[in-house]
Amino acid sequence: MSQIEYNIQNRDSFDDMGMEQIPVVLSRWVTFTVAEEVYALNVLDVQEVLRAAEITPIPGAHPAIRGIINLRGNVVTILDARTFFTLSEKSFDDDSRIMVVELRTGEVAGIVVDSVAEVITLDEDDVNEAKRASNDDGSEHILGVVPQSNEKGNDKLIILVDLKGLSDLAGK
Amino acid sequence: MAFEPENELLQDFLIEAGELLDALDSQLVGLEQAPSDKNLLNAIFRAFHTIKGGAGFLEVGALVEVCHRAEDTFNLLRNGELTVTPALMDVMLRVLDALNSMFASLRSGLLPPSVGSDFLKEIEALARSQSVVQPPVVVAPAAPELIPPVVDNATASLVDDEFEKMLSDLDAAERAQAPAETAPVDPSSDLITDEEFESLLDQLHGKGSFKPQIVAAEPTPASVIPADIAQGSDDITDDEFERVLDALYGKGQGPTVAPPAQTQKSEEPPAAVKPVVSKPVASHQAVPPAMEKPKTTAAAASGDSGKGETTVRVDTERLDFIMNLVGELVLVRNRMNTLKLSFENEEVTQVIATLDMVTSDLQGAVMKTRMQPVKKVFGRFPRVVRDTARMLGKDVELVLEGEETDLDKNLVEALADPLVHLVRNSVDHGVEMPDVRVASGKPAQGTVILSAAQEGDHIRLSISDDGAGMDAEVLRWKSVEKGLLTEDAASRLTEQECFELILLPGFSTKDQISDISGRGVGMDVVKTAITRLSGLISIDSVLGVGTTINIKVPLTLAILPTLMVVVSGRKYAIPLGIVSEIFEMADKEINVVDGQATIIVRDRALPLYRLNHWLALTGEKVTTRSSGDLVVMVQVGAQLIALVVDSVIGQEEVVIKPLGELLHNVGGFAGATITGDGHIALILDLPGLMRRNIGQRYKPKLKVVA
Repeated sequence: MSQIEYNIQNRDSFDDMGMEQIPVVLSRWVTFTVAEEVYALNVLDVQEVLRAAEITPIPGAHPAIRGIINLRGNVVTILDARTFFTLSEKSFDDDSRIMVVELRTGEVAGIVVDSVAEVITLDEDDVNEAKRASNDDGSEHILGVVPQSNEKGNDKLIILVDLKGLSDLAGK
Repeated sequence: MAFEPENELLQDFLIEAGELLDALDSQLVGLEQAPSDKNLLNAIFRAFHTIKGGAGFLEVGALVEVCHRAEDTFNLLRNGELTVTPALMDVMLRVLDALNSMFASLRSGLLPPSVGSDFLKEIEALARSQSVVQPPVVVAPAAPELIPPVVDNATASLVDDEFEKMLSDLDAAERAQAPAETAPVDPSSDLITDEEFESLLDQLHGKGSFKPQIVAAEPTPASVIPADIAQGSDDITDDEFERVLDALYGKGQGPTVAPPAQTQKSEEPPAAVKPVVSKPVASHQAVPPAMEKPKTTAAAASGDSGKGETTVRVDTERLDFIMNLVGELVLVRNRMNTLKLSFENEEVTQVIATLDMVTSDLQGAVMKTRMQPVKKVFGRFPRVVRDTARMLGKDVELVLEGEETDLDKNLVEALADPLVHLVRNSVDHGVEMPDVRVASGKPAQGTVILSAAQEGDHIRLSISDDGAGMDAEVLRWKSVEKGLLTEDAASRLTEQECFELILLPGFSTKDQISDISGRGVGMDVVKTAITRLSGLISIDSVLGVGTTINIKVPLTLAILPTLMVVVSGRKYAIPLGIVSEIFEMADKEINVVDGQATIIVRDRALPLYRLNHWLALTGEKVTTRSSGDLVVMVQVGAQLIALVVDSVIGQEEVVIKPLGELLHNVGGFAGATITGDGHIALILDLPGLMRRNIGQRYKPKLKVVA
């Protein structure tokens, strides 16, 4: 399957990282960009990341729904992260990726993002802190924001998202 | 063992006893036709007995108490001490209903409540109502008769009926002892009733002719208990009982009728059960299972231990999974077939041809495993007809034809409700009252024929009655009166179209609403259900002669033959079943009538819709008429419509892949499929698409059809 760029091992074990000395719990996140902003999805939520796939549009569907793809014989609904975060539209290009996630309902859906960057490790305490800090109902899919310094030394904010509740879109 | 909804034994019991219940339905109605059919009586008796046994083991008290009483009644019936009366049948059918609802609640994991003592008393009263009719020594002569054949044929096998009879007599014997055994164990449980006591006497008397010590003893409960206690808590279940018998005369060791063997049984039921054939004890110690005692459901449910193991129960989920895989394989085959054209190699072509053949065979074979005889649905109709006819005071005979026709399991289930409705309609609306029938020179008894037949890749089901038929003119007039059609439109409907008006929501010819029909909802629901199965429904009627309703459904729902079309450069699949014709638009004249484009096809004006308008994406520019346009005529419900497509690719069998929940509120698509070249094509659901695109204008458009 040439479509699959890489499969992310869902259940990485931290057993060999010296858990007995470090009492912090770490979690791994996949970062991706949409309109210059960096977002992150928990590794456990991401099934795979696809390069270009042929998206069949669905006439009459919600604007955030790009269409459906054939994922190894299964029909998977594809959403557009830009429409979803109410950003301007952008057509699929070489950097564009489809992140395949499993929704809370068990349905598998894909989200078109501008690019997928890397897998980062965050301290669970920081994540929880971020979750507490952003408690407003308006952004139900945004868990919180964590600062992260990259190799160049400048700080960047990473928006942690949870897309499991996307199925609510069907009701809209 | 307490009641556990998750218990596997319970699930097994529900499946197997459920089948018995289904069979009971038709058996009971059959009994009404042939009240003295001994085999039928025995079968019914055994079914109740088996259900009772299983329920007792699972401690479903409510089931036990009902079955127990029903069993009593049938015991009297088969012994000739009672006769079948309509009143008795009514109660028994209500018993069946009660059992069915108990099963329903068991299935949903709830312990069913008792039916109430009133109903139980009513059942008991049945037994008492006629029980003095005959002297209670009916079985006695029967038992001695059994001895000679058994002894004579000690090494040979018994004739089947004799064996049956023997079994049932033994059955009766053990049943009769049941209360006796129960009473001392639990004084609070049912006391022995008069009938039971009487039949107990009978049995003991009968058996006594070759079991002297029991006759010698006082035939009271007290006398049975010591024997019981002496033997420990040995139980024997039906199944074991039969097995012991089999073993006995299989080995030629059948000197006695009553199994002189005991089964040693630990408290844990299945594994430890082991008949000890070598220890013949003279006394009749085949102690029946008391209802409180453990009993294996396997034993409870197996009525036919004689049959060899030729079938395997498979979870339908597993079958669905296999079906999906085969679906994938069909897709791969389709792709191979497409690729074949680009190969010049003859060998490759041959291999692909073989793959094609094998896949088709596999597809057929897997489909067969999902097939069930339509009998499964038909089985309930005798009861439906009987109940409806009785309630209406009509006399109706139901004739079933083609019960052996096989149908996809999902279809069998999905068709059940629409058919019940149609059959009830036939009895209610179709067949006239007996006096009316006689007055019009017909026999007083009406006939409803329910038939099934396979026609190619379709199944045709038809429900026909010899009733009053429908008057097209009345329907026409009603449709105007109810505001469904304008007078003008109604006047242009053909006779056939008039009949199909009854499928419209809100249409009812009955002025009075009964609890059977008349609300004008049913036929609409039937039509929707049939349409969902991609089936067609058509109605034929001759006034005064009768009405026939034909339903055509595909053999299976898993694979759908479709017509692939291209609209705005994208592929869509239209279910082939509704496509009636394809032609070139070319220079055909299009008229705009009342704002609606129409096309004249063989003197009929059909509404014409451009699919590229309906299937336009947001912001997409749609073209209007072009020279290469093709028109696909499809049947949507009762009307024909013409759809304009860019081009037609051809026929393709597709596997329906459901769209995700995110797309559930998008109307107009039945699903998607992966085409032979690996692309996705949406499968159109035309009724949904019409609703979405024409919306409120949908109903008035009917007049354009005319």
